[in-house]
Amino acid sequence: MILFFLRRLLASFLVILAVVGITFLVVRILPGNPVTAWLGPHPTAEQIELARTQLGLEKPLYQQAWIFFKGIMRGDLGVSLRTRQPVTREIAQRFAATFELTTFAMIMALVCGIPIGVLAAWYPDHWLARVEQYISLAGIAIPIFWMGMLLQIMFAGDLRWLPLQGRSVLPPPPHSYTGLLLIDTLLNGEWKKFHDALQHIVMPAITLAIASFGIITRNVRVSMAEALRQSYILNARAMGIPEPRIFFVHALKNALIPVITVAGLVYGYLLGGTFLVEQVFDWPGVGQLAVHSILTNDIPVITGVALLYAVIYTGINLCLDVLYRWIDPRIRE
Amino acid sequence: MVLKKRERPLLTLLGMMAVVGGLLFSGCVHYSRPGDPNKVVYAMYADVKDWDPATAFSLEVMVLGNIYEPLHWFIADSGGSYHFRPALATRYEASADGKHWTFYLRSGVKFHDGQLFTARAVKKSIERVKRLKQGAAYIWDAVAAIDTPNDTTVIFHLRYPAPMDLIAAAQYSAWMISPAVADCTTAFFQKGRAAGTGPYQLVRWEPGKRVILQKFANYWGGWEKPHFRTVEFRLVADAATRVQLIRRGDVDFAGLIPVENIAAMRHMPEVAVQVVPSWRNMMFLLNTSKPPLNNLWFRKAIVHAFDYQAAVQYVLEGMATRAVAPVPHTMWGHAEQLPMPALDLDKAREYLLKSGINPDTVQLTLSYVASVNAYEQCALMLQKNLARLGIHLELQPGLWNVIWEKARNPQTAPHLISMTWWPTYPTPGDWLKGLFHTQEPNVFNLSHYHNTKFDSLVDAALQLEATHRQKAVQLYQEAQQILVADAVAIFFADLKVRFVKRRSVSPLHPNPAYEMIYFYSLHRNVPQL
Repeated sequence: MILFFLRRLLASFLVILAVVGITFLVVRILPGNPVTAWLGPHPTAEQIELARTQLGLEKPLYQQAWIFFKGIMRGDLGVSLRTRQPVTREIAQRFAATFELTTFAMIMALVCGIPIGVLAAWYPDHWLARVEQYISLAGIAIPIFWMGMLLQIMFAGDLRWLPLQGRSVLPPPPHSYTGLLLIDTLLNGEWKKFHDALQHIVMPAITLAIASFGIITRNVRVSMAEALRQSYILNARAMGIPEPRIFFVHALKNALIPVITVAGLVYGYLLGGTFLVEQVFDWPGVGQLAVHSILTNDIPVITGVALLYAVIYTGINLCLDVLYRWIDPRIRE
Repeated sequence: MVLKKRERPLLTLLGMMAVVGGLLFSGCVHYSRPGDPNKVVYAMYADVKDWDPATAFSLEVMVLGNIYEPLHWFIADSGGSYHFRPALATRYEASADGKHWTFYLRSGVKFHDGQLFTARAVKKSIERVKRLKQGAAYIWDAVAAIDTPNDTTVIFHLRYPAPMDLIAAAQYSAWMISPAVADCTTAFFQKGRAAGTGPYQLVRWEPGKRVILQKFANYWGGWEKPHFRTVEFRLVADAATRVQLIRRGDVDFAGLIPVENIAAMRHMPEVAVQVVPSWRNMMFLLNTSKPPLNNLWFRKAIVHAFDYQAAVQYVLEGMATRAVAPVPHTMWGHAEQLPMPALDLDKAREYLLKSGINPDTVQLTLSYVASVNAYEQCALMLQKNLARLGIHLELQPGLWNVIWEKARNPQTAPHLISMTWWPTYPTPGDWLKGLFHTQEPNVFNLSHYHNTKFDSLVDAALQLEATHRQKAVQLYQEAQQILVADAVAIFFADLKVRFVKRRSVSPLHPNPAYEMIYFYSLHRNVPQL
């Protein structure tokens, strides 16, 4: 097990290295002058030269790469050309927002997706099963930005149930323990701010959750249907075990093993796929930061975000590999 | 009703979902903005990039202009005339040679950190800008020394004559900062710190979310009249969301609302749209060094193939006026009654014939900023008209930094490039020197235009601004005539600025010299009972 873990860890490290290396090269090879983001609208020739020197852009590519990788080892990703803030601080400030949104969305997708998938498997001919299929299909097929705007028009524009954008409007921000507004406001006992934070997160989280919901529901349905066909379920019924127990303890437990893999991958996808949702809802997360940085050729931030996503994806994959091995004895053997 | 045994799990699961759903939507009650009549909320489309008033050179002027103050404000009146409104200086005088400028300062003014505003603060502020050499620092290049004979007098000694009255009123790099922080580096400010004399002081910056300013109780202007006490700048990156926010009344102002939304917003009863002239103008620069545009007659053909009226009326939907000169008509020193070209394809054909160039052999390229819809529409119109002349125009949309980098290099420069320009300080020379004067290395002369007569006219006018402004105007006008005669660009629109606000906020007094809203001059109208 330890050897397996170490092998996977090394592979993950190589993947991260490759991703960062490729991103580093691509953003420098592409046409464009990054000093425009640094200097503002009307720089002078002298200022452009000075900026190129300050940012190390006049150095050969291999020297820039060496400086960059040395910086990574020290946890220094440089300074954002657009905001002039350290990239690590920029990402750290925004990651909590992205993490909170995606985790909330994932919980919603799981809480709704698993029961509905199970129901669809239990009653394949019931109208609920057909509704599940339509919702799953729609969740996967509808573009996420369009869904977000539809929800905005309906719940914020017409019904006025929810705020249109942002993370929270009630100042001052709560004392931060975790960076997650919902948790911090609860820990501080600030109910009004908790309510405000909850109102702000619901709509972007639903938008993000809908696509994942479709994937999870379908997987649960297939997996559950498979489990219910097994002979041990028939045996359990013959023994007179109560239906809910058969259902939740015997069938569901086994059906959820493949779902864990899918859920993990979906979570990784959510963490890295918040670009559109954060842009539409002005959610101050890493996705929005990445969009703004790409549009302004903010090289240090683009590379920093690529590094972050590479770490997240490989980290989740590593965890899943280990988890899967741990919960399924057949793989261990 | 008796439940079947197999239906119990269904009910159990539905019950669980109902509980979770109920918890989630417990937040979904009627949402309304927390009301405070003394607070104004502005939805801005980008966060503050630079908190250092010495180096800030972009959109942050909207925030900084309410925290810091210059020596005096430039007030642009209609038709290009102007006057100065005293701010931290009450009056000024210049020597006959334009090389010594004395500003008399307001006494009893305090900075937000409690420091007193004196001549020493002015000296330290300007010297800091010059030392950092960033942003618009170059506007102070003429300053050789600054004398402070007493607390309320500051004298600028210049290397060469320069219009210090205009420079001191610039919207970039002319803010006065507390002497207590004048020795701090830019990094000190970038953490969201500020110390000016303006009506509002910075109380909080939440990066990527909002900036909150609170009234400065000791502001020299006083708080007797109705004023907003709190100003919140909320970051709302998406334009459609800004539209929704102002419609709902969640914000009082929305910045950069797309032109195509303005007509609909005019019909919203609670929303007011104020459209006022600005100092920005739009053009397509013609690369005068690249064949076949190095041929004057060919360039003349191009400028006569553009539909100026349609661009202003239909593309910009009235958010602009037709350009009357290379310098916008709202800026002093703009030329009047220039023979500006108009759409005339017959004349264009005539010029094409004179150029001796066979249009079938020509393939032109036009680069424009893809995010600006107006550029695209105008480029398409030009493409269609040029096709009627037999000229193929290839459109190359892209990001500004990519376009600019390519356009500076004669080898990679396109034939035409989109450009919007505005001045760093209130001078027509900014357009003429910045865009068309010979530059080595080339920064913004993307027409690659070289004309020694034009260069000498602009250089002379820039110096005369300090001593003989009327004479400078004549030279500027002459220089603009040359540009039009040489067809170096398609000057098509003097842009207007649109302010979208809630009707409950008192009307704005916009000033094209500053791309900001001065919130101190506004208040919320109290409904009559």
